Amino acid sequence: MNRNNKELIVGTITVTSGIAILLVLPNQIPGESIRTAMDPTSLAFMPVLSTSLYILCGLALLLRAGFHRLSRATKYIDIKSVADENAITDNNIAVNNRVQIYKPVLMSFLLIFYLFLIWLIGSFAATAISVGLLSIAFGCRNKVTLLILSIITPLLIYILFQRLLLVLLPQGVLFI
Amino acid sequence: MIQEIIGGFAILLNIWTLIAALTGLASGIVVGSLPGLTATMGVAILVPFTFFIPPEIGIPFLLAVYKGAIYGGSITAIVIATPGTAAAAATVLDGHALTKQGKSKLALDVALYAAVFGDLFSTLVLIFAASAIAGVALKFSSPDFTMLLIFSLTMIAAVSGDSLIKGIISALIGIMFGCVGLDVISGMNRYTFGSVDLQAGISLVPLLIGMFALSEVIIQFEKNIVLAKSKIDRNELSISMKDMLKHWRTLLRSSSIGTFIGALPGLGAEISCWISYGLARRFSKKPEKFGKGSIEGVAAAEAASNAVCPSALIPMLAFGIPGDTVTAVLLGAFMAHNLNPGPVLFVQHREILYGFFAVLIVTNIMLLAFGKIAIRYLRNIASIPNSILMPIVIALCFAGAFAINSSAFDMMIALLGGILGYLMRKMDVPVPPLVIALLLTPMLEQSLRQSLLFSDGSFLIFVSRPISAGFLIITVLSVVGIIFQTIRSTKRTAL
Repeated sequence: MNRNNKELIVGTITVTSGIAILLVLPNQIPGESIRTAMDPTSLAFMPVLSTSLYILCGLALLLRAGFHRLSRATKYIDIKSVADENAITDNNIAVNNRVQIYKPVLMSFLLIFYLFLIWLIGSFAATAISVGLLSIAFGCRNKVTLLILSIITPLLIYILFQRLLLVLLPQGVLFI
Repeated sequence: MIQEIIGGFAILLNIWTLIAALTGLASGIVVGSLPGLTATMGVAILVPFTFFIPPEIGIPFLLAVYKGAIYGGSITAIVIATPGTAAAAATVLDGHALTKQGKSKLALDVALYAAVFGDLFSTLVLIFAASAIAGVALKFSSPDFTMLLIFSLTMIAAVSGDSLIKGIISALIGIMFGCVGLDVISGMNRYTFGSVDLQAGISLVPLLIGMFALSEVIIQFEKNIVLAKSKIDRNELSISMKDMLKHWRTLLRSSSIGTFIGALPGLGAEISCWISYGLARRFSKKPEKFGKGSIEGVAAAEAASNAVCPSALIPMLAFGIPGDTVTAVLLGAFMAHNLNPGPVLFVQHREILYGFFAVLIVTNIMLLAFGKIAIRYLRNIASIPNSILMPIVIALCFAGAFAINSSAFDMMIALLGGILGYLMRKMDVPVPPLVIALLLTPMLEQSLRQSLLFSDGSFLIFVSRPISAGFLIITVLSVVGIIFQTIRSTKRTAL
C-alpha cells in the first residue's frame, strides 16, 4: 500500500471515529460540563478540544492525500505503460493483501482465544494449551519441543510470579 | 563533606551490606525485566524482608532493588521489544531496532553504560546538592508543572517520524485515552461507558505491553520471521566505555534532565526518558537515525531513566516528601527503621546517611560488572527461534498485564493495545506520541485546572511566575523550531 492510500485510510478513520466520539460525548460527560466546554476548568474542555483537533487533523490528512492524487493526475503520463504497470501491481497487491490479512487476523484470534481460556480455566492451564498452539502457529512441528514448552512456560511463570514475587495469577471461573 | 563521604564507605566494611546490595540489584533486575512488574511493586514486595535486619543492611538492599528494577526494564525492551517498565518504553524504539540488525550486544552495552553514567551523575548531585535542588523543586507549583508538561508535549514532534500530522493524531488518541476514568477534581466519570473497570482509567503499563510487545508479535508472525534477530553473529559489534564517552553531550544532557525531573514530585522516569529522547534527536547530527537503531537514542533514554532513581530521593531525604510511589514506599522503610527523613536526618544520622550514599555509588560499580556478565547471556535470547520465543513473550505479557492490578481487564487492555499498535504501525502512524500524551494528559489536565482555579480563570498566572514563564518561552521556541523544520523538510521532499 502506498503512502497516499495509507493517508486516505487514516484520514477517513480519524474523521469518522472523531465524529462518533463527538456524538457519544454528551452521554459520557456529565451534561452540565458539555455546555461549558470552552471553559478550561470544565470537565469537557480537554475531551472536546482533543476530539475537535483530532477531526481537523483527519481532514488535513484527507486533503493532503486528495491534493497529492490531483497533482499526480495532472502530470503528463504515459497512460498505457502506467495502466500495464498498475495491472501487474494490482494483481500482486491482491495476492499479498490476502496473505497479509489472514495472518494478523489469525494471530489476533489466537490471542483472544488465549484470554478466553485464562478467563475460563485460569492462567496455568490456559498457558499450557495456548503456548503449544502459538508455537505451532509460529512453525514449530517438533512434538518434544512443544511438550517441553507447554510444561515449562506455565511452570516458570507460576514459580516466578506466584511463588517468588507473591503476585496472584488468574484462577479461572471454573476453579473458583 | 568529603571526609563524611569517605567515612560513609565504612558501611561497606560489613560484608552483609555488600551481599544485600548485590542480592537487591539482582532481584531488581529480574523484577524490572518482567513485563508489568514495576520498581514500586518490587520494592513494596521486598520491604517486609528488611524489617528484621539492621538498617545498614536493609536500606541498601531496597535501594539496590529500586536501581536494578529501573535498569532491568531496558533488557527486555531491547531484546524482545517488551518494555519491562514504562520507563523503558523509549528504549524499545532504537534498542530493538538495533537487535533486529543483529546488534543486540551493542544496544545492551550502550544501555548499561548510559544507565551507569546517568545513575552516577544523579548520585553525585544527590550527595553534593540535595538541599539546593530540593529547594528549587519545592518552589514548583501547578502553573509551573502545567508549562513543563506542555513543553514535554512538544517532544511528540521528535518521535513522530516522517509525518507530523500522523504524530499529532496519535498524540490526540493518547489525550482522549488519558481523559478516560474518574475525574480527580470533580469526582465525575468520563468515557467510562458504565464500566467500573474504566473508572480507574486506561492502565499505562498493560497498554504499553500491548502496543510494543504484542503488536511486534503480530508483525513477526505476519512477516514469517523465524528469528527476532536478522543475523546471528558471535563476534557482533560492541562498544567500549571510552567510545561511549564520545557521546558525552547526550549523556550529560539526558542525565541532567533525569536528575531534574526525578527531583520534581510526581514526575518520574516514564516522562524523563521521552523528554531526553526528544531533545537528543533534536540536537543530534543524525536525527534521521532515531527510531532506526540510533546509539544516541538508547543512551538518551537510559541515562535519563536511571538518573531519576537517586534524584527522586532528594525531596524525600531533604524534606521527608516522597516524590513518587517508590519513594513513598522507601520513606515507609526508612521510618520503620527509625530513620525519619527530613533536615533532622542530616544531623542525627549523618554517618548512616552518607553510608547510604556510598552504597549508591558502589551499587553502580556492581551494576556495571553484573550487567556486563548478564549481557553475555541475555543477548542470546534474540537468537531463540520465534516458534519458542514468541509464545513465551505472549504468556509473559498477559501474566505481567494481570499482575499490575490483579485485573483481568488489564489483560484486555494489553490485547486491544496490541491490535491498535499493529494497525497504527501498518498505517505508519507512530506509537510513541500516543504513549507520551497518555502519560502526560492526566497530570497536565489536573495542573491546568488547578492553576486556573487559583487564578480565577486568568491565564496571566502562567506568565507572572518566573519558572512557568521560562518554560513558556522554551515551549514557544520549540514550537517555532518544529514549524521551521517541518516547512524545510516539506520543501526538501517536494524537490
